Amino acid sequence: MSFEIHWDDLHNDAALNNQIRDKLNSFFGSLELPSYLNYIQITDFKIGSHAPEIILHDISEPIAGLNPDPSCTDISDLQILFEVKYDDDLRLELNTSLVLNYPSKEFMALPINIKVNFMSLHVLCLAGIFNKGKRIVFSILCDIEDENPSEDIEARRESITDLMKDKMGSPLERLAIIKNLSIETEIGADSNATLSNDLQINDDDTISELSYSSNSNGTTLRNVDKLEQFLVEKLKNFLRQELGWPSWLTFEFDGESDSSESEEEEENDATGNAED
Amino acid sequence: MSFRFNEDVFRDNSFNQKIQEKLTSALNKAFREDTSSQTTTTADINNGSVSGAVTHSDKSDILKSRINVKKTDFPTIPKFEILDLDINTQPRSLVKGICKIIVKDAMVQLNTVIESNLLLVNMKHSPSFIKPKLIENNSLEIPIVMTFKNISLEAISNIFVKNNSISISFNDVNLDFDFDCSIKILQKTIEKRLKDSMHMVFKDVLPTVLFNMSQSWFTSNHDTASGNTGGVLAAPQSASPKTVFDEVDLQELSPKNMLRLSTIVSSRHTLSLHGTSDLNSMASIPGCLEKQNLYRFISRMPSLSNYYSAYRRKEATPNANGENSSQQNEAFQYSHDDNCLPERVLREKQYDLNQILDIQNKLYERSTVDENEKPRRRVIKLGKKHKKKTESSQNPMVKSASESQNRQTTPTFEQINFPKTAGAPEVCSTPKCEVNAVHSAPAQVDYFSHDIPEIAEKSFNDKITVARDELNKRLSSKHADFNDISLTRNARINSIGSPPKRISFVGINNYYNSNGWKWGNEDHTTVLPPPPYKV
Repeated sequence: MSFEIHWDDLHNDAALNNQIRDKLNSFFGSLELPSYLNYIQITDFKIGSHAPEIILHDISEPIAGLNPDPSCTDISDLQILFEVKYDDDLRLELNTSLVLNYPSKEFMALPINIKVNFMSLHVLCLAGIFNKGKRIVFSILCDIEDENPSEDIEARRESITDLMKDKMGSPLERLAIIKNLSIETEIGADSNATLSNDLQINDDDTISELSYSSNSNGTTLRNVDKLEQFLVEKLKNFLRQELGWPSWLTFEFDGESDSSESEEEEENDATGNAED
Repeated sequence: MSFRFNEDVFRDNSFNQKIQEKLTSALNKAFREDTSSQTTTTADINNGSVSGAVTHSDKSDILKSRINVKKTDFPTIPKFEILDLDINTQPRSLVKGICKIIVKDAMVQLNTVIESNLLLVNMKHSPSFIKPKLIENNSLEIPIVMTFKNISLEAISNIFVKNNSISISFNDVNLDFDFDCSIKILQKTIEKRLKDSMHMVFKDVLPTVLFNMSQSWFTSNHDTASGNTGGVLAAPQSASPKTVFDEVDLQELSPKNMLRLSTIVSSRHTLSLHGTSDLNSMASIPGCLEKQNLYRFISRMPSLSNYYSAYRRKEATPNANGENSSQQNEAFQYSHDDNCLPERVLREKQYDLNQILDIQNKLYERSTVDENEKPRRRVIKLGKKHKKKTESSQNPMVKSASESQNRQTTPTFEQINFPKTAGAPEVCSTPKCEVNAVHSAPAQVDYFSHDIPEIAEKSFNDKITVARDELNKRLSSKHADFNDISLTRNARINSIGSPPKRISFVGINNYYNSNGWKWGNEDHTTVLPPPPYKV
């Protein structure tokens, strides 16, 4: 490990977690959502218990073309090649709601609750620092295959490939970025008290009805495999499109700022946009 | 309930007003426009509820005024539950859901005016000789009020959301209501007919209405959807017969290929495999790749996994042991599914950054559907209070071109194959030839003449023939195979220094010829695993 990160300090810092959550929420609040989405709100956020491993591999002169503004090349420009390994139990809970604006506005809504509680990635990244640190170009080059994959991960991968069987034989994707992501979904709202009362009064003849109303959770669908798979796939596609080489993100700094913050931002953006 | 309804809408009566408006307009569609369009027929059956006693159309003669929805009341909020959900993205996006719909205590009151003269004869479209003797055409109009109370609906439905439409089928419908009619005599008949026709409404009418509605929504909301329908509409116009091959074109095709094709065609007619025996399999046609062999081609695509295959975990490395070779083979195939850099490469500092970039670039080019699609390179401005994303202004293509120019030292896929072709044994049979091969280095040998656009081929025809003559002069006349080889401008093939292009399928047959690997329908067990990608 090239960097030592005092992760414990971060991990136990509730204030930091809250701060990140609030920042994310304010970011989602500023987004202009499509009409079929009501809101996106993060209800819980906790960074994982292990620090990401960052291994520095090379610091060199930038390869040509990486600088988006070739007019201002500088002798101090440099390029960093590093490896990021993250394999952790971070927690993120996200609420959103799908709305039907017919016949009147927000007539019908379908609440969706998404919980992310595990993520692993192992990638090789390239960052170019230009213009005395004011411009940073970041791209993910490729995935790295673990030398000694833990059995846990292997088992998870098995289950994913089982699900993805129909994708076999298709041309290989250049990047996955996220090796593993566990998402739990909940669709639908719990029946609320007043409504279930109405139900019981009016309905004595249908048995199925009663069984639903007796269940306090209503008909909330949980862990819809296909939906989870769909979301993971969307997120992967998004990251691949935005960050996977030969695409990259450029951060322009006006003031003084450090690069670690920029990465944080970029990851936030990614999760946000992947929802649509 | 799974869907949460906006309670305010129900509380402040706005929903009732809305539904009243919608119902009124829907019910009167048939009254206004007496055409036989789809919407009319559907509304027509909706009207069944009103015109009840009238089984055959011409309801406009019975209904003397429009149908007014006087009152609607939905005291309980309807319930819409999702029982099951299934999302498919392949082969096309499709969302399937099983839903339960519950509506309770609803009330709808309609009023209209009906014609109650039973002797009224409508002679508009009938010949006069069938005219009955007794005609009383003075109308007797009676207002009628119909009230549906305690409407309770419980239905299980399947909902499919496809690209630009929603289709619904009702599987299990329980509908019940109390019916009250201001004309008591008619009450029983109307009620009976209504209940009879209800299954029709749910089986046929509602699904069609919803489907049409959803289509109009999607097409008006999304340009892409309308573009789709536009494409469909445009298709019949271009349906006029097209000449694919002209006599003139045939002369320009390689006679050898035509011979092979005709052999295959005739073998299909006669079911005889004699003629094709020398072809071994259809896949031996240069440049053709059968679908079932696609995975082999993919596994030979330059990827990080096979470029660094020597560093991969041990089950991936091929074993010389004959017995488990097929298993090994499978493991090898499987490991190609992901494009990963083995960790050992990094640990042992064996990586080559340019090579990695090059492979990733190639894979990107392959994965994009649109050749002009540019990699996303967004710029995020930080440090200001408001953060904004802007699409990068400069042209990334130009840049990547300059990149590839700068990385000329790294071999590309095509380059790898080129020396082999030039140095193929048949060409090297005489020292003279080798000189020639070196001499003609800029002009690449291309086995895939079908790839070349017709025009390009024509324009270079002269040059090619000149070059070919020159070659033939130098070559010994034995090499008939050279007829298949056409020479093209190096600018077309060589990606170095030119704008990035897709990987062309140069090279399958080179391997086939020089190393004995086949792409046909050989037995699985006898096939060597594809060798690691190497420079």
